[in-house]
Amino acid sequence: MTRQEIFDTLKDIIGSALERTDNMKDVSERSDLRTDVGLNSVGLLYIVISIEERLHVSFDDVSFNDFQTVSDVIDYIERHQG
Amino acid sequence: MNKGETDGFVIKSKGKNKRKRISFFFYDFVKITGFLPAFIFIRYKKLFVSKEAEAHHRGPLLVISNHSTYIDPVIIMKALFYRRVIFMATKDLFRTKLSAWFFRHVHCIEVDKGNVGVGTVKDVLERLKEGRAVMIFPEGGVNESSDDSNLQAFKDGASLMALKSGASVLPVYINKEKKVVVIGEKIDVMSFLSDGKKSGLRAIRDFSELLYAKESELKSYSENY
Repeated sequence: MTRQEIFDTLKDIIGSALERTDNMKDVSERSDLRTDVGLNSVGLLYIVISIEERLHVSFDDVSFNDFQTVSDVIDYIERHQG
Repeated sequence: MNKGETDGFVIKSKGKNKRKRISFFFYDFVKITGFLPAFIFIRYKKLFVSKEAEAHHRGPLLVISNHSTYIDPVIIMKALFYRRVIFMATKDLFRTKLSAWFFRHVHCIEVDKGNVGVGTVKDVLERLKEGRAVMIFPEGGVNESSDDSNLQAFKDGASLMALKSGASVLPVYINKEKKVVVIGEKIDVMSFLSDGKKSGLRAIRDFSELLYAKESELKSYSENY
């Protein structure tokens, strides 16, 4: 997957989790997952598990503090996708 | 969403299993040898809120309880003697080689409360999918407030585990003043999810509120005893 495809999928997953219907237009790669996107620790874990299910990328060795921005998650997926 | 693997919340795929298998021999040994001192020193009366609550539950089960003393896990083990209950333990308890060996062999799941790892969540989900009983204290730790008879707000972790695993939830309330442990009726997660309007993080919050309401009912029941 290209970086843009990963970003779009991530926005889709986060949008579904937060039940947002605006296609997450205000979210960019620089957005902070906690302050800008509004995820707490459980929200982040939920998102990560959803990514695993959808993109088959394993997040076994990471913790929720390892990701600060949307870009951090995309970088991780890029490094670990098969 | 990939419909082949998920149905809303509950994960149906088995996924990779990297956990080292440990037998329950040592767990059973500790449970049996600990039973006598627990029987002598921890004399909590077990109450059931209804006839249904008296049932012995088989299969995946998430046990939740308030947490006001460090002996709560022993009280739970004694109250649910018919199940091998798996507990979460803070990573501080795994600091030395000996303690790490002990807690791993009594099947405790290591958790870093300040920075919960994805592996921890998956470990819990995996045990539940194996049909085990896992205990979580949704208050997030021992209630050390001056008035510990009040329930602290529930963290959403227990709800996440329940909704992602589909395991039923068994609410338990420990009243240390009255020395009673109250067992509630099992909460069916699938019934909760069958209302199609529930999805995403809102469903997790809603389920946390439901668990809190159930715990509050058990608390009132114990106080009126």
